[in-house]
Amino acid sequence: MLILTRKLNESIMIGDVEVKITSLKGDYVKLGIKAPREVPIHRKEIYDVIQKENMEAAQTKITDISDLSALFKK
Amino acid sequence: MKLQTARFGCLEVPEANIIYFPDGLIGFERYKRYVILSKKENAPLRWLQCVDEPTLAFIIISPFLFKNDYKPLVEKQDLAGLKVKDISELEILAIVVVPDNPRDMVANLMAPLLINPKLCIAKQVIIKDSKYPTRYRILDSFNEDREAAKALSC
Repeated sequence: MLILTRKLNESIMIGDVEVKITSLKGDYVKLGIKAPREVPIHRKEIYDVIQKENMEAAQTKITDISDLSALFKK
Repeated sequence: MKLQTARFGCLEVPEANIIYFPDGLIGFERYKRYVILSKKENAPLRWLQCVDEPTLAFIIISPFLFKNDYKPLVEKQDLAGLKVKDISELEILAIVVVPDNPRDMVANLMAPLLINPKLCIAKQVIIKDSKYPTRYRILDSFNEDREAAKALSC
């Protein structure tokens, strides 16, 4: 992992994405991110949870869902 | 076009039915083209089948079927990415996980699939509003609805 030292209000560029340190308070760092609209930006812990859910959904052994539809019958 | 699938064999699918996810699904960024498959017109559960990987398919559901007040706050840039101004122009679907006991099936309401049905482009978005979990129990709310309906009819 590349590690860079930055001061408050300094930035780095990743391709055409700018990441700026906008505030520092105790354990908290606020980042400003300037990126093209099509670049998805997520907090990693949330991204990991969704990825795990998608993986689990994709690993279903089920091939026939018509039986399951019966559970929805009123 | 001919579509190879692991679960349903080889299917003939109109090319116009292909839904394009420019970013793929989260964790499956490589796969961008999907079709929705369903045996019956009004089946609650349907398949989102990947066009380019026969084994990759997700069970999907309309969240409104079990949570009719579902109202995810979608970011402006996501709407713009799907070329719409308002969420009402989009079809919303949720990915379902069915465990060994199907009565415990859950839907991911935190990361719904948004589809622009006119342009057949779609995106899985992450909703920042924390009231929508990744594992919303589908049939619980369905039973509540059923009990509510019973109460009304009495």
